[in-house]
Amino acid sequence: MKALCNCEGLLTAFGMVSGVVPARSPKPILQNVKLVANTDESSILMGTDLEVGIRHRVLGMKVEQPGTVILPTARFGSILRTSTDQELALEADGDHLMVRGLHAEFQLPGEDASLYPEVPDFGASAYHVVSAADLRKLIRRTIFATDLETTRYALGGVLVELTAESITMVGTDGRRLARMSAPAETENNAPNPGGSPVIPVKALKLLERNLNDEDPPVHIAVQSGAAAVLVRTERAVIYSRLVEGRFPRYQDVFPSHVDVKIPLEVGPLRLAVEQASIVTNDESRGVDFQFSSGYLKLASQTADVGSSHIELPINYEGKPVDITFDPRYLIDALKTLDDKTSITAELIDSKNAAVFKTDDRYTYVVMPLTRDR
Amino acid sequence: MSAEGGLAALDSMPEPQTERSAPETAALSESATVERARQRKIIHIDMDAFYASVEQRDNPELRGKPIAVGGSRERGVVAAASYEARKFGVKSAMPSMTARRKCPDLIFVKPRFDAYRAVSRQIHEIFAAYTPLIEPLSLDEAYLDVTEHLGAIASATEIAKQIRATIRSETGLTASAGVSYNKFLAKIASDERKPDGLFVITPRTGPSFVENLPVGRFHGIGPVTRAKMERLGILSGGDLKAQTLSFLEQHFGKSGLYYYSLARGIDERPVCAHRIRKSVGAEKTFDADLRTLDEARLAIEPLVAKVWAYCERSNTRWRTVTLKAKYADFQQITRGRTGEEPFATPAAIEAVVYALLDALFPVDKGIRLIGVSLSSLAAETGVEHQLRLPF
Repeated sequence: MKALCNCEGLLTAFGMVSGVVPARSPKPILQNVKLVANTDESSILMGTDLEVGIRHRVLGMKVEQPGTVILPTARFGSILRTSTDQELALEADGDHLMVRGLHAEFQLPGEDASLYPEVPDFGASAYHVVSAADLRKLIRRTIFATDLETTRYALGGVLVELTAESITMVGTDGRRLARMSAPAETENNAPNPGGSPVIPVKALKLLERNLNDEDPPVHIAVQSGAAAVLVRTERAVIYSRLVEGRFPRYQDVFPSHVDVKIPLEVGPLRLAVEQASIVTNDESRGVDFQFSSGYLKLASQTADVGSSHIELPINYEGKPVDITFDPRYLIDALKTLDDKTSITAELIDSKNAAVFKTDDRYTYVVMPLTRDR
Repeated sequence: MSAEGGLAALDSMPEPQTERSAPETAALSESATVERARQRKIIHIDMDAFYASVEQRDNPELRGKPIAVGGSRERGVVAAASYEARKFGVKSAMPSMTARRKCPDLIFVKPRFDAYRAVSRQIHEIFAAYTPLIEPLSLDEAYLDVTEHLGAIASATEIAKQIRATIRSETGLTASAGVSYNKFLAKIASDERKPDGLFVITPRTGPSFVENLPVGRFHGIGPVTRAKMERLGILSGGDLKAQTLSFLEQHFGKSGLYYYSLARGIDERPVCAHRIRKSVGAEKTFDADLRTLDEARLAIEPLVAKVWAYCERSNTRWRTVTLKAKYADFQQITRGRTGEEPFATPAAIEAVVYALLDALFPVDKGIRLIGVSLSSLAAETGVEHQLRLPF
């Protein structure tokens, strides 16, 4: 392998791929990334921890002699980041990898590229198509509600439901649940994937970082048997094993009827909740919400910390509702929405789930806190 | 008596003989002014060789002999040693094998915690006659804040004398007492004339006393920190006082400010009558080192059952579980996890402990001890409860 690499192009790919590389692994080869240098502008950098893998295009490679090299992630990353060169020459024989700039030269040990596991490519011809901007939004608005600590592994990922018309993502930790839908299309009549594919958080974070709102649509293919998912973006293919375990029947959490619907605006609501949460702590988290005609009053009180009373004018005339929330649960969701967004709170009483809805098909369900007095 | 009067009494107590140079006196009067704003009177009472003394009291044959309370088996540890045994270098927390090597005639006695608890209740009642502000540190040790509760007695020193005399007549055991104006100094003072002694550190003598103290005797400075301080040339309280706050924070992080204050004899921690337990734990040393995951998993269940029994009794729930393992070479590691919600069942604790345990295996050296503890008190049960979604 012999090539001249554009530093910026390689660094971009490296930044994405190195995020997948495990810091420690029983298979030390995985602590490297693999560069496949092709002459036709289709060079690819790949990395995997066997759960999640990524193949990322490398721009600006002038390949004299195609080939495959294994790059030690940490050291090679440092070389790239500290390099002052526009271009670096890479040359590998069986034993060594030479990296040359104008005034710098590195020799690294060569690794046997055949030991590096295959990172699956996007092979499907039938798949679902979703806009990049929508997919970003879906991920950002659901991923925070997951729970990586629980032994219910399915809650450590986001459920993805694909049909011929729509994509729906759902994340929950058992106390709150975030669901969002967006339009989708199919290519070559891709069937709806069976089962309930749950994509791990790590893969979704990687995918989100890979997307720009202006990118062309993204292709999604769930492997038959629902063991893995492949996603093709403008510049990368991301592979992820699906999370094992059954995702809860989330449809059950939406109340069948609600008594009270209160229109709110995200920005002022978020600010009020953040203010009220200033005087909470881990032992006393609750903020009391009193919805009444014209006003939302927020109150919190914590021993040795203090108390707060916040008032927010609201456009509501109706029966009063009192409910207590862990403010972090509300802030988590409100942070993912634009301040100007209208959001409707649907409430029953202090014991039942509260539902927040936006006009763009986002639904967030939060269970309240109760206090025994 | 008013606090003002009590202060005068404390000030008039005899001072230990200490050489003082002029600059020290200047620094000292400065900090004395700071403390004077809210002068407290704290007594630290510490029973002498407590478990061993109770055993010698209850069994005349043991009197005057070197005894150790604790397990004599290979993996046993000395919980307490009589003064006769201490002469041979036997100390608490020493492996029993080591203790026997140092003192071949050492008599091992099985601990009787019920007897110790009974004495502990007795001395607590004695304290309660003088002040409600009692902070027990263990069965045999407590801080008393007597600032507001001097009654008809002239000074805190006088209270300490009376308490020692009452303990001796009612329990037949001796206690040492330290009297000072904060907890840190009171504790050091009780050590100063041990056993069966009384020592007073006044606001005037406190700073110079601290300056002459080796850092190893500071409460809260263990062998590791001490070694680190010695490498930095800090051997005494005076050396510590010579350091700037930023220097101490740079080298000791958050503890820097604590050391900075202690070096000046300043310790504003209150005596907490209802000290909230910060953690609850159980551990077991095994007769033979554990090598397999199965063996270790088996050892977990009774430990979890023990800590859970405490949760039930005390009506408390906790959010953090910590697994401790001590290897055959005495290297000790801890692994913990904190959940959003407190553990509601022993099974929930077990699941996390198993996960933490699994990560330790395979081991390349045997495990001699395993411990499980809970911390991050999540409030008494039922105070605030996050409802869950119905699935």
